[in-house]
Amino acid sequence: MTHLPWYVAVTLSLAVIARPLGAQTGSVEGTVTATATNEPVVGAEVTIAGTNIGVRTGPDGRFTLGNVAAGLRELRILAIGYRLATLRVTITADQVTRTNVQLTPSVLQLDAVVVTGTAGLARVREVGNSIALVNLSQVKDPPANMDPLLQARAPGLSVMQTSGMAGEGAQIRLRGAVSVSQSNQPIVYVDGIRVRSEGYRRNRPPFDDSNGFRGANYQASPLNDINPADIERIEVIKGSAASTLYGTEAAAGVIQIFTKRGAGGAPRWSFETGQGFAQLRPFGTDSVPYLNLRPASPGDSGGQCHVTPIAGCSWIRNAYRQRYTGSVSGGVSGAAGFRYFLSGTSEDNDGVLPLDNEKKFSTRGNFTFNLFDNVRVDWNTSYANTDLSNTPAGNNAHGLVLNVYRQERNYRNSGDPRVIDSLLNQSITSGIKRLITGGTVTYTPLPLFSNRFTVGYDLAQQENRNLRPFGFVAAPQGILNEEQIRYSILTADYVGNLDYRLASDLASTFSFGGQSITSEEVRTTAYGEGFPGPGLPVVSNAALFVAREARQRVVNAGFFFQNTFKLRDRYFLTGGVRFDGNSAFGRALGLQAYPKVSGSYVISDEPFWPANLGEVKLRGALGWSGRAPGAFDAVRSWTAVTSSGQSGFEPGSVGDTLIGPERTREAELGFDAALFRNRLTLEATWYHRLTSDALYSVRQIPSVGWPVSQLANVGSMSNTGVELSVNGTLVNQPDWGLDLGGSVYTNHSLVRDLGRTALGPTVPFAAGGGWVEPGFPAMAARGVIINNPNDIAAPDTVCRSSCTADGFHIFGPQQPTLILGQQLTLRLPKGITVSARAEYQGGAWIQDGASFNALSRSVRWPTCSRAYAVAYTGVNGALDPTKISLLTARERKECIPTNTNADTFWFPQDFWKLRDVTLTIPVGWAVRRASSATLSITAQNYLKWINRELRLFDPEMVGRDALGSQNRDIAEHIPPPAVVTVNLRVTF
Amino acid sequence: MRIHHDSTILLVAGALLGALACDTSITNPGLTPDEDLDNPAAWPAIVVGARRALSDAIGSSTGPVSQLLYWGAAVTYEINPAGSTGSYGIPTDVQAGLPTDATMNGDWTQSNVARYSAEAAVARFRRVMPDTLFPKSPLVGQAYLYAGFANRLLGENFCQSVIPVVIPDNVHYVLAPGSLGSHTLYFLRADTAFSNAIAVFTATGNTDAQTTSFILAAHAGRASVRTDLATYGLATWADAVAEAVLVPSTYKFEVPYSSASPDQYNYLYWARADQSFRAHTQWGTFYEGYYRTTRDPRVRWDTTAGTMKPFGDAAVAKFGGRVPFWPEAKYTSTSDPVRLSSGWEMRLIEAEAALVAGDLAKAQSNINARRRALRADTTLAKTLDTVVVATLVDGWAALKRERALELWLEGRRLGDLRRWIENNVPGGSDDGTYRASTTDILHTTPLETMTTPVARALCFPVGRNERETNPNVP
Repeated sequence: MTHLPWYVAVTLSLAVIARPLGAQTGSVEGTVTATATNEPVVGAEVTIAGTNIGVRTGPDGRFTLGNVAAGLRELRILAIGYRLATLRVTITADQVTRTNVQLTPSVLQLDAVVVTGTAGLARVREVGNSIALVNLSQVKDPPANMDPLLQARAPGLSVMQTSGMAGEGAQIRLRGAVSVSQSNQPIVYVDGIRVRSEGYRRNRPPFDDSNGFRGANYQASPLNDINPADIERIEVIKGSAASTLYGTEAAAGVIQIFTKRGAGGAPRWSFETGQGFAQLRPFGTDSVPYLNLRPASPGDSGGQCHVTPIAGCSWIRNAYRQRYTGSVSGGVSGAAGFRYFLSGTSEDNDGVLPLDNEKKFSTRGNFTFNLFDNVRVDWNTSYANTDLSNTPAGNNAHGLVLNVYRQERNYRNSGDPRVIDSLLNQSITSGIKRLITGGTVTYTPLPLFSNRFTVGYDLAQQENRNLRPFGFVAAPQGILNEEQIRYSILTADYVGNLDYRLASDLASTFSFGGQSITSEEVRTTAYGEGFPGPGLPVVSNAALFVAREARQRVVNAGFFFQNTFKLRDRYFLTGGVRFDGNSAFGRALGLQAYPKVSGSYVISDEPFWPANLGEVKLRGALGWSGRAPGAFDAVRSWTAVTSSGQSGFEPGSVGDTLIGPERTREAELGFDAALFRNRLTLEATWYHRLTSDALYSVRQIPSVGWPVSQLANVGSMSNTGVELSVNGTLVNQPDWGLDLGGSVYTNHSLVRDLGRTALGPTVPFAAGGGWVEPGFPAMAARGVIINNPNDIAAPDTVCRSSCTADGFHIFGPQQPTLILGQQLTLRLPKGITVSARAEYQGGAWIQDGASFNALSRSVRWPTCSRAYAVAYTGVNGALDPTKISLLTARERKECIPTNTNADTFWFPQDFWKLRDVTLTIPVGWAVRRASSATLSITAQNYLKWINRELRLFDPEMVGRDALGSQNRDIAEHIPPPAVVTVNLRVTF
Repeated sequence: MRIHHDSTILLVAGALLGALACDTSITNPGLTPDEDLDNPAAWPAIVVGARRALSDAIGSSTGPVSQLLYWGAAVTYEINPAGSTGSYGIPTDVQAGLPTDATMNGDWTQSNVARYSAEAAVARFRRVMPDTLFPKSPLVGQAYLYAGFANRLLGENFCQSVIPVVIPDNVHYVLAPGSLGSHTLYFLRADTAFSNAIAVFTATGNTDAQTTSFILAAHAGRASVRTDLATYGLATWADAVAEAVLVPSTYKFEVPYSSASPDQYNYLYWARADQSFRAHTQWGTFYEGYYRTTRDPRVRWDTTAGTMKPFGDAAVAKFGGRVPFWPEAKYTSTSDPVRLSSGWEMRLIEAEAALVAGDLAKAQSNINARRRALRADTTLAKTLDTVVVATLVDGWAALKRERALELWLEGRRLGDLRRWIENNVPGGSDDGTYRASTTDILHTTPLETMTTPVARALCFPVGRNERETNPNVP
């Protein structure tokens, strides 16, 4: 397609009416204060309407805007927690105009500007869908990583950690899972640039069998390359009702991160240091609370096994963490001004396992140039370097954790620490270098017409090195796997907005734009076995070495139109459509259209609304978005193989020339309210999501010869739920106060239809550890129920309810159906605060694969301790068949290895965790010349409750490739540890 | 001028974005489109792919995982479990001798991939080769050959057949799902494929060693499937013998494995290679005691491995704990090939035919021919006795033992046991577990056999994945 892009023509035709720039300038300065208290408002955005000139107020609430074109200007002042204020000032050439502004508090932030899910800028009042906003200025003690930062921040946002390994990422879901075959990780933007959101490849040999588990078996998350200390705010939109304009890849939601920008004025320096430790909390039974990783009682400790492997030693440690951050921001305001924000962070975090460590360095430079009063350039660059060292863990026969758990029945036939310690003679390291750079040009030729053009590049270079050296106990000749992976995403994005007035009360904004996202992944792997002797090898030292390569590029491109009608600035109606093409679509498929419509109504702006009742906005949205198939799914193809040194072809993918995106339609209705003088805020949303043309992995008939399942647009599934958050100020005294908040989120998924292919109806199928069958939750936990688990009787495993067509029992979904958030802030005299956030997740089921793996191998396991005492009374502790009758039904299924069946190892994964509790103490008085200083002490995940039916472990220890998947099964990992940190933050 | 300048910037930016936005066509490297295989330059690789698929079906370290040789050995007591039940291990249902259809999913899939790869190759060659080339192309001959062995593998291991129906199509080799049928259909299909292979190789007119070897392999394959068919009364023993006699005793045809990459390793070897798996052992098998007393190199196991690593890699429930790790030593490296056919197997086919005909002397002679050849090998530590058979029952017992020894760990035992038991062939078998409870001294009689205490499977069920996807298979 080579036709002239539509937006070029539109832009050109409109650009000709752009006016020349004026040359006469003056400046304006003043102070911004709050109406009720007359306290200065810090960080308020002061801008000249219709231009890109803006500045933020300093600690004293003062601002200065220089180089403003002379004439009558509209000054707009907006700050978090206040209503928008506008006033007209006359700028006189070469003179300073002085003015003071008072802001009225507003909890709902109806005039705050958001961009996520909108075309260009939109005020909150105009947006018909819910947007979760996380303002970092309101986070008492931002954690070191993004994952815990997002945890329990908004209803509908589920952040599940996946293990306790250093560098591990989290599984993020917005309103549950949207696809059974494609990734459910939301897409992520940083300052308007699309960045990688899928997990990094885990460090592993390149083979699909158990050799592929020789590593630490977890995924690092690209999200954690972004330094929370650099973030100003995060906008989260949770589904298709809001993400239509992001098109084919946005059905799982969008997280947009905005980093800090410089404020005009003198440089402001900020420094922060954090010191702390990570500590593993018990996750076993009373007799083995750490499942052999350390003695039950600290008093039994014989030191660190890795240092001195003797009886009673511990394989885990209290792991030291340290972090240092510095930043400076400032600039010159006005038409020819510029602003900057520079930062750098260094971290060194040990993990609780002996070889675990994460070293991270990141730096950022954000620059804003006002080239003219109607042209602004923002250029943002960040670089992060992460070096990870890990302990072999997970379902890894050469791993420490698995072999410690299984003791004398492990792969070394020994629980002796000296024997197990030999497994630590290996090195699993990863290095990740991440560069995100890009710029946005905002051109406003007319006050009512703006253009935004963004280009960006996200480049991540990952090196995985996995060495079992010569002499390694389980591979004496040595094995080395070296892998280099380059991930890149190129973003090009244009948005134009044209405001016009249709009548005195009716305004309109027409938006149009286009976007191209090109993502590429290139992976080269070198694997070698058999080294000639000791020493640090390279792959080419090996007697056998294998090279592998994979490269894949996907282009998604589209364009959109949208119009928002605004009646009396309280009724808003938006309609739009996006058209998308994608390189993964089948050749026979054309552009895909995703329409949207939304409306909002600020009822509290009506004349009839009692002014003292507060602010209320009603909203509703309906929209479509998609999820693209895999890069190779459209093509009937063969796989290259070798046989005895000769090249060959084996059947690969059947291919589908009509394959396209799965389309998700989402409707939501809700309201936002701030009542009782802003002391109570409510946000409620009902949503319903329907995925049609769902990409199901349709299994091929084995006898027909193609072994690999083929994605096909055949089925449909839905998610329904509500989101409710309530925050209230219970006490609001001058010296102290108490804020309480809570949230409820529900999600119920349902497979509605499996569709049919040319071979006939699609039959229920297992995929990725879950079961897909109409009438049940998507990716359901399917297994064998033990109806009488605690009876001294033979197991009754007949399915009597929630039965699949083939007689198995559906326990339930694997993603939580109910998440309850709780938060508390206690404000004390002298600015001291205590805040806490907690989270309950429930309604989901998890498979305890680690217990099954052990019990099916006759490992002595703590859940069978009663059975061992009762029935394993034969020679050398063998099972006495005559004693089986003394066992419970569950014991007979689990504690007799020949009876074990993974299908019975499903358990509720309900848990509650105190995500963080933070004490914050202002200590500015203690630091000379500091404008502010804060000391904070934070404990994360220190308390937890886990459903007792899950007798061992923790639902947040699944590892492997968990970030994009839907299922959750417990592997031989450790749970996320508790982390305690003390932070000191000083600003000059 | 200002307007013109701004417009130029917008034009350039817009054109750049437009170019990026409109062109989404990409060809990613890595997978080969189906139509590219029509290119003559790709034809040899198609045949190599069919051979690799057969290796994978018998048992290599690749996915989808298939271990017909390994699990068949476990069901028929050619080996005993020594630990792992998951990766590289023996699942508990296989240990118990009753594999479920779910357990067999991977084996069923890969065995069918092997059959499909070879048969699709023939169909493609028929479509794209010149009419004059197809009947005498060595590539066609090889495709037929591997189709024959893939069908034999299915017939000797799976309880039933599912053979898809070819739908005429000018572009692809399109198949409609088939229905359940007798496993002997695979033998008939193999017979046809071997016959075609012989015809094509003969038509090439080549007399080089490789072509000769392929022809012998096709004759040996045809002899073996006719043996299967003859047992079921679907062919004559004379037809089987007529093929067998064409194959010299020392001839063998193998499917390769490779140390070049871990996904091409000989699976059975790798499962006991102590990296980290010590998943099977000869402890407690018939072959343990037999090798101790005879040192018959056909059933060699490693008597020294246990001194380094005394036990298997995990406890074995049926033995009440850990068991001695005495691994087989027929395969001693990751690249050791697996025999598909051999001249010595042909001699035993002739012996079996002789027993059917009541010719004890001929049967005894053929059995002992192999033993004498082994005795001639001075490296043997102990004398390998020749057999003497006095009765027909003794003859059948000797024949069954000899096939057990000759074809040990080659994925053939299950098919043999099935055809003999289902057809009430006289003579007992040496199968069973001779486990010891407190020492490693074997009991003189097996505590477990193919029939007691619980009858073990004589074939593998069709994979559950076939039943779940094929509307014709209930």
